[in-house]
Amino acid sequence: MNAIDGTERQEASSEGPPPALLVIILDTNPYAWTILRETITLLDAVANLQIFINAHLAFSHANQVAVIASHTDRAVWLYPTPARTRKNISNGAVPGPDGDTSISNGNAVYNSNKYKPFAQVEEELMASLRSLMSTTDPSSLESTTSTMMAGALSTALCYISKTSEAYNATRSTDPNPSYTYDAPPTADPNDPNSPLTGLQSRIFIFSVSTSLATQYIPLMNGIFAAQRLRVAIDVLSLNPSTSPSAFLQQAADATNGIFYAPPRPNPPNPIALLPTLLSLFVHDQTSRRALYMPTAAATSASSSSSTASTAINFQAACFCHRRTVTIGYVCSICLSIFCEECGVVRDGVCLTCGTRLRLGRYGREPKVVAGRKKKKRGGEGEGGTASGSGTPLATPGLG
Amino acid sequence: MADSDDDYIQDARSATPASDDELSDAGIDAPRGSQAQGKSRRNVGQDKNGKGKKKATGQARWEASAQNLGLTEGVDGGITKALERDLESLKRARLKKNTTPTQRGIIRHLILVLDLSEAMAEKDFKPNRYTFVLRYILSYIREFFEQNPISQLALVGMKDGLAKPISELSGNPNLHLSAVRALMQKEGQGNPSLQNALEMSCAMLQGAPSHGTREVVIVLGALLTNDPGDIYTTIRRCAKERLRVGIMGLAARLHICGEIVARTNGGDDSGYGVAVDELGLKDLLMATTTPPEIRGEGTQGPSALASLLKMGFPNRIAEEVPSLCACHNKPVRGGYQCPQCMVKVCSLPTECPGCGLTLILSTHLARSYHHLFPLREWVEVSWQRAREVGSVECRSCLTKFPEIPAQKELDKDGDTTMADASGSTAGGANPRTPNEQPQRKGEGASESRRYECETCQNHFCVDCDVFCHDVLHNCPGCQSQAHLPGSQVGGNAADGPNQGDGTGKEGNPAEAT
Repeated sequence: MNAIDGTERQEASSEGPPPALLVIILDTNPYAWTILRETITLLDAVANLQIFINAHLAFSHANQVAVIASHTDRAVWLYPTPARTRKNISNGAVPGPDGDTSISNGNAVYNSNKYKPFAQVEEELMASLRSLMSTTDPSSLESTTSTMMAGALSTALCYISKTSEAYNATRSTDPNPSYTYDAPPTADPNDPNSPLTGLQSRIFIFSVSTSLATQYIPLMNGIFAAQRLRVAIDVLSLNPSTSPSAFLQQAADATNGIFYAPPRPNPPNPIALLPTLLSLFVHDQTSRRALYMPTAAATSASSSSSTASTAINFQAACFCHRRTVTIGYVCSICLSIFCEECGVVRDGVCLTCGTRLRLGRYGREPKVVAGRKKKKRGGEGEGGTASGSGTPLATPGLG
Repeated sequence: MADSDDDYIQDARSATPASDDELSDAGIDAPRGSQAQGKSRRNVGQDKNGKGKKKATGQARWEASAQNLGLTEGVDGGITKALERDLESLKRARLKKNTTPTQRGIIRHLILVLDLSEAMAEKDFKPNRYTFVLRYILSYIREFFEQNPISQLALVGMKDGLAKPISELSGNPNLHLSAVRALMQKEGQGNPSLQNALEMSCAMLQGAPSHGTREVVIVLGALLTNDPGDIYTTIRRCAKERLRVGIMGLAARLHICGEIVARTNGGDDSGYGVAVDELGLKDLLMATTTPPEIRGEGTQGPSALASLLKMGFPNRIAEEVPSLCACHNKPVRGGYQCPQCMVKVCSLPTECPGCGLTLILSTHLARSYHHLFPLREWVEVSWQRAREVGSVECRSCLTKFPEIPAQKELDKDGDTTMADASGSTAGGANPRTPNEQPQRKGEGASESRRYECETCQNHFCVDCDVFCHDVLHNCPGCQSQAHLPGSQVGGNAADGPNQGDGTGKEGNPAEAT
């Protein structure tokens, strides 16, 4: 009888696909949703998202989900509910729902006909969302029309980092924790084909806002952090403007995620959100390898030639005129980009950091190379490049 | 400074390998492989003022590290709390960085010199130094290019009294990685030669443009250098060529190494460190992935070396049919087109093979911005402060904080906590003297396990603190609030149950366009 050991069997059964953590960033920017109201309303979108979340949870009992709202003036947790929001809800500060559910003393009474994890997410998500909307007053909307995407992304990454660390700690046998301080990593984090272990995390951004230009640096920092954590960022952009957000496109490209902006019908009519969600975004990274996905990256091995034509906007804008440049001039100290028009190239003083910059021969007209004789005489000037003592500009008499 | 015991612990803690000056008499002729001697010397060196010399000599390394933990019994007589705190302060110790924005040399040219001599066969690092160092170098190379995407790296090996190039100066990490992997099969032999290595580094960096830094990082396992001539001539030449040398020792301090580092860094020998254990080596190595600050060279200001660089931001092209790339001459589909000469390259950043223009993406520049605008340190939160704010969980990961003890308990524990805090450096901010907090910034673990961003006044756990400062370089709190408490008081609707009109979403259609 002693030979029968329950623990061993449990180990064997846990050898399935690794659990996945899905963090959804829902853009709740009221301005953008107002523009989109012909196409889809926030309420419809949330209802569809819930089915999407349920689908994700149904894949495996170990799968987890988290939802963050990126609002105009703040980014807040929707699920799991932070203690502060929960307190607000249980205090009755939030107007109750329209009779479909009931929350008593913070403990939701679940419908017995519903799978409990589904019901729990739904309850908390809706309660937090209501709390968010009720605490949004007109004055807070006046200041900005943008959304706090960088904050939501940072929060999501912190949550993922912490959750996967906790997950790895529970499975001490895991040879390759995602983020440790002592052991050198054995697997190449940049190699997309190396085996994926530990918690599989990805971020799904439901974006409706247009411009995120003010958050360029924090957003980029977030993208690089996601790259290091090997977290894919998927983006569904319902953005009402004609050009999709360049930064989110870059985010999806850099992290091997999916960027999808559904074609905008004119006149606007309701879109089929749920099929899009379920057919594009529900798969985890492992199964994506076997599928043709509309990746943002043309470099991805699995992308077909038709999707490869997706050009990503990598344009650099100069700091002086905000104009797109293909050949720019970069300050070696602060990495500001300038175009040919502005005075930097002429004067050699960086507009951002005020540093005096050594100039190459950029601003000058190309000279006709003189004959061999002259070149010999000018030989003494050549030492300038190696020792760095004299600038080429300092000897104009040579020409 | 009252109690000599405390003094000693303090000294042992603060003595990083880099600060023990006494060992400079070890000299370059220290007998090779004298591990025991090296160890005892190092321990002597830990005692900066020579006060507790009696205690320190003859102390084994593990004893020193046990001392370093500085365990103190908690109020309940247990050490669990102290241990937890110590773990936190260890984690946070890595963060103690200077966060004042400084001019840094973002465009770097670095020669990594590896000791491949027979001294690397020592087994004090597991499985041996050779394998251990090479394995770390692999992750170092990745980290280096992660942090410095527009920089160049080259590897040089020292063996048989010679310096041999392992890989050429290049910005492509895969080239270096494969070169190091090839080395893994071999093993160390002969003696290293610092002079030859420096000479070769000088030669390799000769062509490096003046706006970039010229750095040499040497990982030295041996306690000797086998030089063909006068190494001081070479050091002078390096200094003249603006090379900055950093050395990581694996065994003991050598006078000549300190000399090389000091003379090539304008008298500052902080670039020379000896790794006492495996984590120490990693810290020393990883410290060099941060771009160095730009110093003034002689009479010229720091900006004299700055220059305006012409760079191309190529377009990605998509092709139905593969075409040859200019960099490898291989048919590939898609790639990037140089805006100046229109040739196709397959990866960035690179130098255009056609016209020599530096080709990068704007994202590569963005990757370096966090060096220029570092995230501010977060401070420890006292119980008093935690009570004021009433934080229950981490702002970003929603991990529960330990509960705030009742006011009565705090007052009762006040005295013991005070004694604790003064007795061990692991103690957090003292709850009784909140005005002392600013000086204790970044010192160690917080007693309430909370860390506060002073800008947005949110509280975070230690893991998020480390993650945000090490990887993310963003504050989730600051990025998530349009109205920061410092700039605007009371404007934040997240603070309380603000009874709005309940229809915030649809309420403002007028402003929608």
